[in-house]
Amino acid sequence: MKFYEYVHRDSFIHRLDPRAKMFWLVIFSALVFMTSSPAIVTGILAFTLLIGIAAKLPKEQLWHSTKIFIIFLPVAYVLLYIFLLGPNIGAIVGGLVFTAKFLVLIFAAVIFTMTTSSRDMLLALTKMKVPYAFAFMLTIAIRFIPVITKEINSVIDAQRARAYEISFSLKHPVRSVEKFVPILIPVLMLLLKRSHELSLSIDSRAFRAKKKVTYSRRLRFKAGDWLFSILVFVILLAVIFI
Amino acid sequence: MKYTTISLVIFALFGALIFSIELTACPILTALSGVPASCGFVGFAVEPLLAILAALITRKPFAFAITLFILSVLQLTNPIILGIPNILVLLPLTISGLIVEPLVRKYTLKSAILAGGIYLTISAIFVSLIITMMWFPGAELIAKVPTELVVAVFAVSFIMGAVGGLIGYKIYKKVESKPFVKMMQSK
Repeated sequence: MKFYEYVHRDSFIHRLDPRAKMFWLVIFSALVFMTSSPAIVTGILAFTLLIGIAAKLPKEQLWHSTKIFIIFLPVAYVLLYIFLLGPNIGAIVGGLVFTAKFLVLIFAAVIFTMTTSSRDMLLALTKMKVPYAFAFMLTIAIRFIPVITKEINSVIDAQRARAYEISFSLKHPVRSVEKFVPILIPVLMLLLKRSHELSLSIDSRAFRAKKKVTYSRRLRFKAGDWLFSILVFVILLAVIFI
Repeated sequence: MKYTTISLVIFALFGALIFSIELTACPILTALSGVPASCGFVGFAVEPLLAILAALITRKPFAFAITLFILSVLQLTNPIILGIPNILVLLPLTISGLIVEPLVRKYTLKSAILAGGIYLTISAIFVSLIITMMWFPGAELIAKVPTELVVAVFAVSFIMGAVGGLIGYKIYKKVESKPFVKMMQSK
């Protein structure tokens, strides 16, 4: 699994203000709760996919990020519906509609991630009056995930080289969790040291010395952003009143 | 309350650490156990453990809730299989983190165990609520499920969270004497 795969493209969706995309994400996530009509859910899914197409995202990468859901979810939910409601057309349609709802949530999150750089997302958050400390923590968290993943893998390899067996059993969850402690402690020590060094270096660069924070790039809500947001709002109203 | 730079870095790193463990362990555990729900198990096992550890190490108010909030924002961008996708993930993590916060702040073994247990129980309740709200097939059957079964599910969640809290506290005891941990707490 990969994390935060921003894909740079020259598309209308990429150029949209992250706040407009967040609005779309929130509204579409809410929409799947508001209806179970097959036609409306299919429409919402189609619109989500259209946004993906308009974003000119590489199809292979999009497929790679979502294939497990596209293959697994329909089978799982249709079987579940058949199990609960019996083998009939209604159960199959019900399973597919529920799959479509889940796919809207997944596609929307993946498209948002692939079209919004972490820097733009943080700028948008600070514009939305999210405290700067939070934006700072999120930047660090995003930047450190590859480092942490590398550290975890190195520690796992080092423990394996010492013949430490990593096993997992659902029958013995406590023992399984305890098996990970010899991995967790070295990772933790490495990270605590790293955090200390990082905070020293941040403080030495006069972090939070001034109350007002300035940025080299500014976000502006343009006509395209308004149009996109209005379109999303119209879809919301249409679903409410249909 | 103004947080020190080291506290902010620690919250961020613990949020990222939980997320990275979930990312790394999910495929391994799913392959080892053959059960797709193992991914959920990773989260259940690791979240209370590390969030409590972050709170114990930093000793700052809302450390537990902030760490989980950072984690929820990270999870938002990566739909892990069988997890709650999209913005919905913010609710169970952040709200249950906030509810448990006063308990975590006592920094004792008992409070760590209780906090872990209660956190996971509340999370399980939230997940059930979200499933019901999404008109999940059979959601209406939840009301008909025998009380004993509901109690058993929440009891398992509580026990798993309590174990997470216990291990988190034990790990803290192992690292608390380290000079930089003491220095973090003194700031």
